Parts: sequence; structure tokens; C-alpha cells
Amino acid sequence: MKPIVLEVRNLKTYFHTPRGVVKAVDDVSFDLMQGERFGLVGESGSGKTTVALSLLRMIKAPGQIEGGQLLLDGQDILKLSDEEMRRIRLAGIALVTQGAMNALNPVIRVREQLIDGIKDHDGNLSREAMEARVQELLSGVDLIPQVADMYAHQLSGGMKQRVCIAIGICMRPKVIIADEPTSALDVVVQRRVMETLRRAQEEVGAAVILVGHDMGLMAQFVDRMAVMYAGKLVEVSPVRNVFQEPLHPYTELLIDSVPTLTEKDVLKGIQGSMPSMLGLPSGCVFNPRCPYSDESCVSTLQETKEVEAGRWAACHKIDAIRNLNPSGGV
Amino acid sequence: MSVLLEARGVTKVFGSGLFDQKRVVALEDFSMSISKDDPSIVAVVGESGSGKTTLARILLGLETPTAGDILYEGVNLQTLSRIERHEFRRNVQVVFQDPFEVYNPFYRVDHVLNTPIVKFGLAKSPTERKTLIEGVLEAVGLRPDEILGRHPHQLSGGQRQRIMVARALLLKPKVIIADEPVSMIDASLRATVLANLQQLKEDFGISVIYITHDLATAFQISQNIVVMYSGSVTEVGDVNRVVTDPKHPYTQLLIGSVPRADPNLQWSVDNLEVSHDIGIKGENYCKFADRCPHVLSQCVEKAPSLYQIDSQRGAACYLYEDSPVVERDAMNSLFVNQQ
Repeated sequence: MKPIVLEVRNLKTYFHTPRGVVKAVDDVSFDLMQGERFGLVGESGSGKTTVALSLLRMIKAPGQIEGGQLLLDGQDILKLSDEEMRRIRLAGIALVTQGAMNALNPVIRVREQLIDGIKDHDGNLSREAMEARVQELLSGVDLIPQVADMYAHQLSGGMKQRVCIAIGICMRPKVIIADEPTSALDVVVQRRVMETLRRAQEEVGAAVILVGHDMGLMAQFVDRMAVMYAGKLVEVSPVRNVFQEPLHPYTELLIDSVPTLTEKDVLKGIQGSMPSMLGLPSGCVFNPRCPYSDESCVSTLQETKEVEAGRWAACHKIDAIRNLNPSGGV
Repeated sequence: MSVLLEARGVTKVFGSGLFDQKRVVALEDFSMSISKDDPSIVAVVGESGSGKTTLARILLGLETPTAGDILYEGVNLQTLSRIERHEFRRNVQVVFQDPFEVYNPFYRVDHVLNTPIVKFGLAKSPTERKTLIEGVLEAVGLRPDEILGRHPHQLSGGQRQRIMVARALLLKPKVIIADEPVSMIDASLRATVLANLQQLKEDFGISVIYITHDLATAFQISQNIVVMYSGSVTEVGDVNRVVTDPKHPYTQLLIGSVPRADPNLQWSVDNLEVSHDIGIKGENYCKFADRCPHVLSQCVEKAPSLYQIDSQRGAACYLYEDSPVVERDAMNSLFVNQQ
């Protein structure tokens, strides 16, 4: 097995609002292997973006990382000073934003935006070396050299997203966090941008955390995925297992709700809606919407356990549910 | 077949002012009709910039076509009398994309349900109004006591969008134009809104024009599909045929690009798209020619007609030149369930 590059241990990020404490990320733990593509899926409000921002220590007040460890190559980045953390961003952990909208500065040429980060981290490059670096980065994301002289408004959505990927990989980070990188793009462009991201990531040897809600994209891109619900990880498994035999009832329902292009089905949603983060249900957070829940789900708090080798889930009824449907699936 | 709403040779050009050099043809020679007595769901699918939202706005009378007409019960929208216009506004309803911006945050959600009742005089007494509202909310699967009296921010995106469907239903329209109704809703709630649209057709006999970029949901709920690219129709017909066996090179690319929720299915369409300079002259050419792997010399000289490939499907591509030509205003003849 590949070495672990990032260990997330019991991460807790809370927001202190006037109406109470919102546990946006509550006790989340997972490992990220070197060069691995890891998916983090959840609906809006599940806390997936908060996890991404916590890994970069970019949580703003009233939010705060309350506890846990973030070990990047064994070093706890939560213990670093602000200046040390600033050095880690981009060089150690980089963020690829949703660039199609407004991640790029509209009044600065692409070249300057690419150079900005490189200058900050290893400033003593000659003008020629810097230009060579820019061209290498652009060609690495399938953009023509002339793009360096352009402004954001001259680029299409797909091109802007490629520039954002180029910025993300410019310091050859160990971990790239891509937060919904293609959610505003058309399917044809999306596929090509994801291919670029994959190639750039393999070239740099970085691990990718793909944050999103599109199960199709996850199935096609990631090696392992984590499913988040109401601030908690409910399942972490290799992607093939997730789609073949989901462990957690929420994962199962989420996969069932994806419309396919092959057969017409009765459209299935998940009953009810996400609980308010200020008044989470007692016991398992998913119990009000879960078709398998009973009193034990309300009275006991769910812990994430390793159900099989390499597969974690937060549901104490997995064995019982499996006996209900022996043919596979949960 | 009596026609309720019809687009006849509609073209919309933006920015064609006297001094404006940039002309954008958002929609080109588009014809389609919605039958009065045979409800169906037609999906209009395309990427951003394909002209699908322009089509919705033109059908609703929010935008005036540059050429061509929109006919409501045989009368041009421009020349409807006041009474007919009132009728039109009641029978042709819309559900917009954004379930957040359509609400005024200061009002309770009851407001959007009360307004049409008052405007169209649907209820004589407050009790009658209450029954009406509760009826439509229940019809879309919402519990009135959980919804009424709330402010928009207290409800989820799915609930808000279902209220918009309920609002449309209140007027008992003949057609609902739904412009990307589920693109801003979470996956787990999307199905409920789509099921509502399906139910409109089945239980209330309302036709739905479902405008979307999402092929999978279009396939799930509609009978017929119109695929658009850059303002022109590329492929049209029975949704089962178009989605499972696309014929137009653009439709093939589009369907091949959808990421399947199955790690075992390959996501590769490398042979489906190229990029080349094919020397476009003038304005009459196939818009997909510069990306098409099968491009022919005639593609840049004249835009292809719509060719009827089989009984229930047509494609605007010279690859099918040997098939009979379908006149643009006879596109509906390719649809299933319509005479």
C-alpha cells in the first residue's frame, strides 16, 4: 500500500452563531494516500466544503477548528504558526477553486496570477526561468502559450478552470483540494477538464481530494470516497465497493437517487430533508430519514467502525440490514 | 390535433443594433407545437449558449422573436387581446431555475400562492382560498402545516421548488415551461420535483416543456427530446431512441460525456470530438462543423436540413442525407404519442 500523505484525525470545526453552535464538521477522520484520488461527497450543508477549508486552515470567524489533528507527512499543521501555515498552502496543500465563476482576478493577466504564487514561495527565479515555468504550467493543462497574456474575461469557462488547475499545481503540492471544480461547466467541457486535472495530478504525483455532489463524476474519477452527512462521515470505502455494495443506508439511497441513461426507473428521492444543524437528531444523525431505523438508532450515538478491511461506516445495523437483503446492496 | 402553443420559424438575434458588429443568433428557425388534448413532456436539451433559455422566454412572451411567430390558440402573441392575454398567462405557466431568487424574502411563502388566486379571482372566500392552496400543496407532496406561514429561508431548495410547481398547478394551466427546475437542488430532493412534473402530466393532463442540460433526468421523465446546439436543432424525436442510440455527432458527444455512476463504465469519447478550422464563410453552415469528426465539405456551405432517420427521430446532419427531409415546421411529426 502507498504511504499516507495526509492523516485527518477527529477533525472538529464548529461555527459559533448567536443561535447556538453549529458542528459543521464533527469528528471526521480519514487517511489520504500518496497520489490517491479521494472523493468527498455530500449534499449542500453537509460540511464537505468546511472540511476542505479546514485542511487549509482557511476557516473564518465565527468558525473555528476546535480539535483534532491534521498530519501532513506526519507533521500536525494545526500546530503551525500562521506564517508556517502560509508556507504550506500551495506548496504542501493547494486549492483548486471553482474557477469558472470568479476565482481569477479580472484586471490582472493570467501570467501575473500564475507567477504570484511561485514568487511568494521561491522568489529568486530569473525572468527567463519564470517565463519557462509559466509556459510549462500552461502546456501542462493543455492551454496555448498566448493564454499567459490574456485576461480572465477573454477565456471560456473551461479555460478559466484550467488556469485554476495550473495555479493549483504550480508548486507541485502533495495534496490538491478540488472543490466542485466543474460544477458550472457543461458535460463535454467537464470531461476534458477532469482529464486535465487527472493528468496534471499524476504528473505532479499529488493526491487529490475531489469535493462535490455528482456521484457520476465520483464514479469516474476517484479511487476511494467518503460520504458526508450533517457534519459527519457516514462511510469511507473504495469507489467500486461504494457503487456495488454501499454500506450505509444514506449512501445506498444517494446512489439510488442518481438518474441513469440506460433504464427508465421510478424516480426515487430520499424522504424528508437534512436536519437543521442547530438541532441535530439524537443518536444517528440520519435516523429520521432512514428506512431501517428503530429505537436503538435514536438512543445510541453512531461511531465510525471498520466494517471490512478498508471500509468504514457509521451504522450499527449494517449486519442486520445485510441479512434483510442478502442479494447485495445494503 | 388542436394546437395550444406553437413556435413557427422563430429566430432570435441579440445585439443586432445599427452600430453593433456582434450579432449572436440565439435561436434559429425553430418550430414546435404543443397539443391541447394530448399532454406530453418534451425535453429541450443543450449546453449553455444553445438557446434553450431564449426559447423558454420567447414561448412565455417575455422576449420578442426577431423573426417568426409564437401562436397561442392560433393567434400571434403580439396581437392577443387583453382577455386572450389574460387567458394565455393563466394557461402557460413557468417554473424557473432558481428556487431562491423567485421568492421575496420578506414575505411568507403564502404570498406566492395567494397572489395568483387574487389576480385570477380563483376563490370567493378565505376558506375557499385555503382549501385551494392546501389542495395543490398536497398534490405536490408537501404538508400544508409544515409550509404555510413560513418564510422562504426556513425551507429547503426542494420544498421551495415544489411550492413553485404547486403555484403553477393552482391555475390549472395547459402547459408548464420548466427552465432547469432541478439544477440547483440537491440530488436527494431532485427526484421529488421531477416526480411532481411527471405527475402534472399524468394526473392533471398538463404538458411540460422541460428545459435542461441534464440528459439523464430528461431521459427519465420525458417522452420526446429536442437536442439543441448553438441555436439550432441537431436531433429530435423519441427520447428512448435518441438517448440510447444517438445519431447526430453532437448528441453522441454529449451523451458520451455524461459521467456514469458506475466505476466499471469507461468515460472516454476520444473519437467523438475534434477541433479543426474548416474555413467557415457566411452564416449558413452547420454550427457543429468545427468540432465534428465526420465533417464534410458541404457542412460549411449550407446548414443541413432535418433528415428523418426512422419513424420517430430526425437529425440535422448530412450523414443522413439519403433519408427524407422533414420540414422544420413538421418536427412534431417525429414525436411519439402525437398525431
